[in-house]
Amino acid sequence: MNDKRRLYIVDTTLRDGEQRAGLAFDREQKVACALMMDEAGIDQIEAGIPAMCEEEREAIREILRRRRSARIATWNRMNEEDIRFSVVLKPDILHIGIPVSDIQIGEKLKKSRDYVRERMKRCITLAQTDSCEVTLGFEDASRADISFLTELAECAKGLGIKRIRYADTVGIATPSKIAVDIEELSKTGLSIECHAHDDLGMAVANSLQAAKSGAEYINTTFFGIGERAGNCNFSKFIGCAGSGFTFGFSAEPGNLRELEAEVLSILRLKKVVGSR
Amino acid sequence: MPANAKIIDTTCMALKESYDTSNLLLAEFVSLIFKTGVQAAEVTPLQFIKMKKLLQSSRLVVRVRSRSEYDFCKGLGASRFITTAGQFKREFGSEEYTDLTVELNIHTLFDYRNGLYAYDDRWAARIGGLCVTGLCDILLADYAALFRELRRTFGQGISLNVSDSNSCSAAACFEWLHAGGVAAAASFTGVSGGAPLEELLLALNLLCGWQYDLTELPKLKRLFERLAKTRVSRFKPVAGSDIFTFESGIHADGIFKNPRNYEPYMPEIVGLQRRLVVGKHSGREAVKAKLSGLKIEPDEKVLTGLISAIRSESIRLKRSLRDEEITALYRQIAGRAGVSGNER
Repeated sequence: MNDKRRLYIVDTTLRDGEQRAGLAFDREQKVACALMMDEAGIDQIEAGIPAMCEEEREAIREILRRRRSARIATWNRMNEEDIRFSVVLKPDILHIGIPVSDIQIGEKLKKSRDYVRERMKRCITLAQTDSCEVTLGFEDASRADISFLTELAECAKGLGIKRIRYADTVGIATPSKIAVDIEELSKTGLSIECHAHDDLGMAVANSLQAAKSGAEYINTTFFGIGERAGNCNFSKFIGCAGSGFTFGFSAEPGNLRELEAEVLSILRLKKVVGSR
Repeated sequence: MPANAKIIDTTCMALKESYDTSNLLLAEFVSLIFKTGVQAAEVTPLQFIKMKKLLQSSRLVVRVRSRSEYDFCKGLGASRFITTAGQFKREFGSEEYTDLTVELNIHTLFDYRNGLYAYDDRWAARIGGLCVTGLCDILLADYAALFRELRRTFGQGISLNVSDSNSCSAAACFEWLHAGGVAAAASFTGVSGGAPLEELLLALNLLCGWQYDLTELPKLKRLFERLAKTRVSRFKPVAGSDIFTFESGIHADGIFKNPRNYEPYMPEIVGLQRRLVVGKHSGREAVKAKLSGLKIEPDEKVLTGLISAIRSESIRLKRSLRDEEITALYRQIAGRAGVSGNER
């Protein structure tokens, strides 16, 4: 069947996955894991947060030096310092997280929507260099006002942004909610990426719905590791979406099990990966 | 969504009928399930016998395999039954059974579309209800249209039990009830192969305002672990003990300002409390909060040194740090900086 649409996997095991409380990967583990994913055919690897520490930057530099075909992304908060740390590493993709819900704008940033829009524009301009593409992550998008999201998306598009990420940061979206929001955002003509959390056990279903509604990029982590109940589980998502979409690698269960076994041993996740 | 929608718990189906299972333990588990607001629980004939005096037996749906089992349990006071379509066809003759639900397994959408299931239109007049199970790939298709079609084909009152082999069962059951379905089946942690009960209940509670009470979830989980002889993952959505444990600087900072920034709901709703751990991803605020919990008031200079020491140590150990390790690091750094006596 050649009429299946191709989906692009953005794996964030090494960034959001590692943010699961209690986990810490060292440079060797990060490099080995990224190279394995690269070899496996995963399209994009979110390798880490450069602003965090020198060891993190060293790992990202080495991954960039040694990878073959996967695109390597860095994750940044919406501030100049984070972006400066990233720009010098020359990643393929420099990703900036933009808090977009009124809850996060008011309670975390203690600012206004206007502030977010202006700051976003400034950060985009600062991050855009010849060597890397800038993508934006709309954080807490599922609790945000969709009209504000489209407004920000249009504004970013005007500055040359091609892809935005819809993040269900606190994991409370449902497929019917995702369908409405992704279809609305797709109208901007931008490529859409979906980042789902599993707080209600719906991360796989929501990612599937995002793909059905037009998202081309799906975020996953191995074993679904990530903040709280975790993120969209890589092999569960591929297992589920494999009959409707194609990927840059084989969706056969055997292949997925092999990849999982490698990640398990590189990242020593045995203690974290529970039974049920 | 209809106000009279029902959730049927099927956890007991997965709890093997080991004779060492104490009646009391099982009954305590089921009564806690009822306490959440779930209306009914499916049980085996043996489990029914064990629990009928301990629980409101009209809320127990007995899974029977034959007419003789049905008659036997009915004689003991059972008032609701379920059986598979195959067993119904083979074992139940042509009488009417208003207290019997027939379970129709339709494995996939392919099977549904090609009529590969054992249903006979004439049953509708003879049975009390129909439960459709399977349909693991329903979310891959236009599920809203399919829900309408299922209700047209099998009747408005049907119950749905979506299989979790595509990891979408909670979402599918939620959307089913959200779209007007009147009943769905689920089991604790999804142990019986369908939707995880706790995920479905919480979603209905948070997103639809249905009053399901999950505050005794930790107790329910402990009982489940004893009965099923298993451990529930610490990070299992809704039921995991560590789903409100946080570390990363970005999240910690947001949670200190207002937990709503990074929490989908209050931990108390599922009987938990949030907990801070410190490690590679911790920033200033998180380390400060941790130290304050350890009754240490750090000097700013020491704090900066401590954050980077915590990061290095956490990377070296490949995990977050324990309280005593943090205290030791603090003493080391404070000692080096010549600061002392800040421990309360």
